[in-house]
Amino acid sequence: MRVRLRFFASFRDQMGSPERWVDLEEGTNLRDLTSSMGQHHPFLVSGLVAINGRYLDAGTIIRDGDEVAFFPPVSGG
Amino acid sequence: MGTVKITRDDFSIDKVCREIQTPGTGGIVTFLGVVRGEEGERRTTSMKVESYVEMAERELGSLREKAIDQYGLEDMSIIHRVGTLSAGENIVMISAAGPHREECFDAARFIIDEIKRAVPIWKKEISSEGERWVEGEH
Repeated sequence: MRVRLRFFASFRDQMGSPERWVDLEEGTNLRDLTSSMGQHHPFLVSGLVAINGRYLDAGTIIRDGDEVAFFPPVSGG
Repeated sequence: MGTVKITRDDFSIDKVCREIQTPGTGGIVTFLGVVRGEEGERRTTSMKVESYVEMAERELGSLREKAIDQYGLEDMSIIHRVGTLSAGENIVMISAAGPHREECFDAARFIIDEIKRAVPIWKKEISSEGERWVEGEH
């Protein structure tokens, strides 16, 4: 299944791109994806993750066409 | 009627306050965040503000509804700007209208604290020392 990854702020700078499409196996959850991404980009593990614009549990199963966003701790206000 | 907005445009404090005033309103508390131009020796010339807009607006909408319910407000508006903002310019405005002052102060404080905790917005400071992402507090 195809999933869109998005990166914001300093994570986008470090990734060198605002987004990327990846192929994942059925049944992959958020924890699996974060762990897998963290192997090549360890900084991603220290940030926040959202699926389709919502903070969800790490055990949430990712679905085909989902948008998963990785970003650093927020600093608005 | 109150609103939630992520926008490049500046806002009118007076207009936003009038929009949330109801017959039952006895007070309106507004928190206004602006770009700080000085911090110690560092001189900030501008701030680049970016957001995951779709998510931030949804989060702010949920927070607004929660605050109205939890603090018994008449209405509330939350506006956060994005883009490049010069020192002194408005960044964020939170206005809470309620029957009495206590709930308005508490609600405005609740919202700004939540924005700094969980709403996907980031600031990059442009100063005399160069550029740097402002670190989150959480």
